[in-house]
Amino acid sequence: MSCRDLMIENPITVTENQKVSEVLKLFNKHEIRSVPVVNDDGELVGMYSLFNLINSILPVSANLGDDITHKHDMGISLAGLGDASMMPNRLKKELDIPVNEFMNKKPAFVSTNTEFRECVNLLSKFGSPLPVVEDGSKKLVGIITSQEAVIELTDMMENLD
Amino acid sequence: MSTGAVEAATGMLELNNDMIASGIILILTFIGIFTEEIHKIHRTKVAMAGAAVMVLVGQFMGFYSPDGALKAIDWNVVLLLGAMMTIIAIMIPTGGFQAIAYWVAKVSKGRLFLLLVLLGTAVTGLSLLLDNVTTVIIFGPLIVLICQALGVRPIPYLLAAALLSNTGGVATLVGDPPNLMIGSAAGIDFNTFFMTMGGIVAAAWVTTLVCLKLLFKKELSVTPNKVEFEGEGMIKDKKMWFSSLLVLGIMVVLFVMHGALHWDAWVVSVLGLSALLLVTKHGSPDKYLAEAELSLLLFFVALFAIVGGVEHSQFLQYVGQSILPLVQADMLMACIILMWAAAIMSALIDNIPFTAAMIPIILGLEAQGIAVAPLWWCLSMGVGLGGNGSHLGSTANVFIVTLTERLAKRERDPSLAITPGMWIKKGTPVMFSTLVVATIVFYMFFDFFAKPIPKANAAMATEISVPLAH
Repeated sequence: MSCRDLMIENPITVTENQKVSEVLKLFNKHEIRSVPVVNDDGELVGMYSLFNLINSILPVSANLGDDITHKHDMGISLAGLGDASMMPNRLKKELDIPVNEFMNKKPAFVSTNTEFRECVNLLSKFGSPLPVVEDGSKKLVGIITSQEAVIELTDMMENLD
Repeated sequence: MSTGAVEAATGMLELNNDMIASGIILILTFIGIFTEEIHKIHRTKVAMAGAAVMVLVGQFMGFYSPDGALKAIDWNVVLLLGAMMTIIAIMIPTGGFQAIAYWVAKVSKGRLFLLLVLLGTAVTGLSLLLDNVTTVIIFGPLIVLICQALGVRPIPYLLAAALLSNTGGVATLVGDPPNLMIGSAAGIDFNTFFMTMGGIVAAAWVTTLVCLKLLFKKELSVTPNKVEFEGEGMIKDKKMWFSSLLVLGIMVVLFVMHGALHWDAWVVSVLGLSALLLVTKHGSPDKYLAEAELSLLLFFVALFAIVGGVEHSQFLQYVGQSILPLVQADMLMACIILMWAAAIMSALIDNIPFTAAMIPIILGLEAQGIAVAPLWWCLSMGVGLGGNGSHLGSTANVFIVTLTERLAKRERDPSLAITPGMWIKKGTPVMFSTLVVATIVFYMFFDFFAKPIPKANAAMATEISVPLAH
């Protein structure tokens, strides 16, 4: 069995130039927290999630990145600083900016031909949902989620007997 | 002294093929290292390739060998740096440094110049023991947090951290890698280093603060937000933090005594690391060892192997010999020229390879009977203070600049970034002022700096000064 058999087809997507504010509305409306980002040709260019959002409104000191801290676990605490008005201020500025600035530009993905057990493996490594692209291209055709995988696994379990 | 050195002392060296070959390899490798920004090949890779070529060519031509390369590596420097990096990797996650920074912010009660001086003092105090880069990696992000809470622009404080850590690092044997290389090659112990350099660095340090006050008059006179900083709660792992402080304290005592104990400096840091690892909670030390910057350690190993080859070919002694007349004619002038040349070079290029190349030249002069003590001090001051000269002058500067670029991006305010032009306006004047002060102090107290370095620890000087017999 491959990914094609259990993916959710025609998933909700956003384009790279959509503003954060529009995407947040979409998140609310559909009760989702993560969405594939596609270009005009329908090709996958990234994933944008609430994680990307909260990560981008932290003060820069809190998530500098391995590349400039020599991999040190800086362990900076944001407690003990009085008020936290800086974060809503950053959020306010971000609402008008296209999501492609904040999205994960190198998201994990699976292709329609990826085997089911490998899908489960990747879901456990990179989290759910994972975008599914047409085999051999970047065209987004669906998403797979842990829920779908568990439903499939349950079916398989029941068929064991 | 070695047979090679005696040869050098008795007869003038003639330029030969060995020297030319090793000189070309050295120069090409250094060009590769200094142009990393252009070709994007990491300096460690370039240095390793250079070392490989040096050993192979050296063995083929007969002036060098793998064994010679192994002996040329100054393990004192490599082990000390590696141990210090690991100790700091243990200390950072405890939150103790954040507590210190918040405490400083609390004590300064919104008086901004006081905040700058106190942060500067904390950074300097730490740079006396730790590598400058590490110091700013710890304090840079904390300074940004504090300034954002106070609602003031962080640039003066970040620049102060970089400038003062570079300046403070000059004062001790272990404060900065070039000092370690110089001290190790010249057999200078911790005490001698601090006693000789402490005063002149203190003068440079005060000069830096005065310059900062003048250069940032406007920024330091704004009224910050009222913020209650709570430092106490920041220490997440009290046991580890206070154990680390205890170990560091004991290490300072041992550094002071290491000459008398006939220990190289690395012994102290490795002992400190061993003690600290015993206290850590993690079963395996891998977590901390992974945070030591192995590529930098490997860079040192490769660099020592390259310079060792050039030394065995006696090319650097040849270079030393050609500047001998100048040094003999006027030692004071030679020292001051060295200080300024070293400063300008280290503002423009990486000061570690530059120091590595200068060391054998000075050792070569020493072998010819010159009292080189003042040259060592000037080299150290030049490369240390010169690091303040440009945004690329030291790794600490590069970190601070990158930090401000990310800050500017996050806050969508380009004026928060330190640009190369801003560094020239605010950092370069600091370098020139401190160099002028250092030159004046050096000139006035030349006799003090010209005192021979106590050779009680001559046995500590590493093998680097021993060329192969030809």
